[in-house]
Amino acid sequence: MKSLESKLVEKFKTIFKLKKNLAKKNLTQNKIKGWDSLNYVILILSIQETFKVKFKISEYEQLNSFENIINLIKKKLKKTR
Amino acid sequence: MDLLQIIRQTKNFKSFVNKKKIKIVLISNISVHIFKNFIEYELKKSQINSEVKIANFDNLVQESENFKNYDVVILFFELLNFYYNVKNKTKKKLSSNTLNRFQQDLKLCFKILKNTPLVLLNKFSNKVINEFRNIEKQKKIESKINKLIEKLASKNFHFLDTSLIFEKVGIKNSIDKNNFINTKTLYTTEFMHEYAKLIKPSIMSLCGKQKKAIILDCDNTLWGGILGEDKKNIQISSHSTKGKIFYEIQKLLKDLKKRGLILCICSKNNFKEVENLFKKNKMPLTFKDFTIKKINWNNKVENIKNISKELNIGYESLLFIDDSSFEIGLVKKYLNKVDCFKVSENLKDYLLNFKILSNSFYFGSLTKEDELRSKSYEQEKKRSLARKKYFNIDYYIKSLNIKVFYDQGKKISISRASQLCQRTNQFNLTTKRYNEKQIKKISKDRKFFISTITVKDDYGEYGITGLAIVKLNHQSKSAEIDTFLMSCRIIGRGIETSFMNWIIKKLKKKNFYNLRSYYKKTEKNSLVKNFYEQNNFKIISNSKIQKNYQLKL
Repeated sequence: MKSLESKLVEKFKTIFKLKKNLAKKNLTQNKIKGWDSLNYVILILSIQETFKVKFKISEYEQLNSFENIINLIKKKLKKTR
Repeated sequence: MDLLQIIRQTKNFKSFVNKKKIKIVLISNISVHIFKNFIEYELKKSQINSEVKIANFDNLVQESENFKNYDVVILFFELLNFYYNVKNKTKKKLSSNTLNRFQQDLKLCFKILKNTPLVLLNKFSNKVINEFRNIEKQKKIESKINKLIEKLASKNFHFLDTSLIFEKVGIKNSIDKNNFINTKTLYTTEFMHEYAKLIKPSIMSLCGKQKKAIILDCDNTLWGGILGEDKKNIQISSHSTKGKIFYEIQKLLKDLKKRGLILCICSKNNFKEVENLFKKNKMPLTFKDFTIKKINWNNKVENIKNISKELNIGYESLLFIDDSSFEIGLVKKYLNKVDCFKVSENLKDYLLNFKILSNSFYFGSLTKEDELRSKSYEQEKKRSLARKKYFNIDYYIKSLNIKVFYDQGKKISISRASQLCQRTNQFNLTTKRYNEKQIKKISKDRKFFISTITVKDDYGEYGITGLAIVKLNHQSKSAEIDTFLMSCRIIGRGIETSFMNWIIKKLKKKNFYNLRSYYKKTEKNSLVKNFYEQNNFKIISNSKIQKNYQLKL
């Protein structure tokens, strides 16, 4: 089983076409070039599909960096367990 | 297959050289960018290069004009969006102005797209709107618009019913409200994938790859129940719940036939019995509706090969429908170009999935040759009769990992054993109908050896499907097979032989040296008339109704 984190890294790499292994704190909306509105939607849909989570309307604003996203997913998965 | 995999796979597919790229455009009033990935992926899987463009957001008339020279225009309009007006975000009621403008736009757009090869259009549905509780519903808008578009549409238009997808995956799994409010992406990836599958056949027929014939199994496909085993319980009528489903299926098939599709039967059954059933029962389909009827005990791959030759239709234009995963697996393995459709275990799903299937056929490009084809098949039939190829069915059977489990004596399931006795007609050598009491008695009696088999393979479990009863004479050390039967679901996989060998081995262990057996002819068991010969028994006497055999152990 792949860990949650490595699954998410994979998503970032594929969707934003990242070549190098960037440090996780650099994976943010402002620092990733390919982060446009279209890829953002792909990322959200892909996350929802894999982790079976839904986001509240207020949470969409937080979905702007790797760290924020992973924290939010973890929080959601804990609740359902 | 998830979204990420699809993005990667689509890239990895090699471009098919020398093949034209089909140009597709999606015109929509919601965010549909990601449909592109699914559509391109599904088409590439069927070796069609495509380029999907997303037109500018919510600009129906202008974009129709811009893209009218494309091969396929998909109009993806969602009524819901009219409730969320850009200028006035709080407005949650559909104004008659907006609606009127949209209808005017549609009229114009239909005129513009008159000469586009294929236009796909979703039927409007209020199912999505119903999920948003805070907006005021207006009744019958969707049916009003649907009537309008049906009236306006020219021949190159093909309507798609998205509500079938909602029924299949569930509305809650099809849309995400919060995504819609934040990003205007209403649909989930699950819906998108289903949608791509729904539009694929229409696009394929545009490329000359449409389905031309459907090959159907009989039992539990055209009707409920197994004809050879239980003639009285065939379910095909509009009055019973189960029968109604098959009745509806036949109606849909009849409709497809009217629109030019060729229907064929490929079923393991006795020809006469099937013919009689069609004569006696009032069903939507008649026996004559089927152009070719392969009703025999040959394996289905050979039968389908012959159908393809007789009709002069390539494998990729055939659709095969069956309820047995064994047959579906066999055809998929040896004729991978033939599309297969398995009858769903849940009958309600069967009807729903079949509706989706029949909805996806597109006949816009049906030519005269297609009509002639079904007429000229008789000639072709004679021509190709001689050509026959065989393949190795043993190899396929091996790959299934069939496992047979034996139970004997008191361990057997009495009720199932007697059920088999009562029901089995075709693979039944002596056709003795024991009831539960009698079976129970036999299972305790030292003078009888009784056993049943349970069969499993890679596709699943078939349950208890075979029964044998052997009479033992302990003094003379000779035995006689009193009953040997198997459910016809598992015939033709070599199981019968291994069952017989297992019995012989058991008898040898007990030092029996003589085994007698007989075949008693009935109306239905001609299937097994040479079974004992094939298993090395010697005939000792032969009459019209019975053959007696012997085997030295």
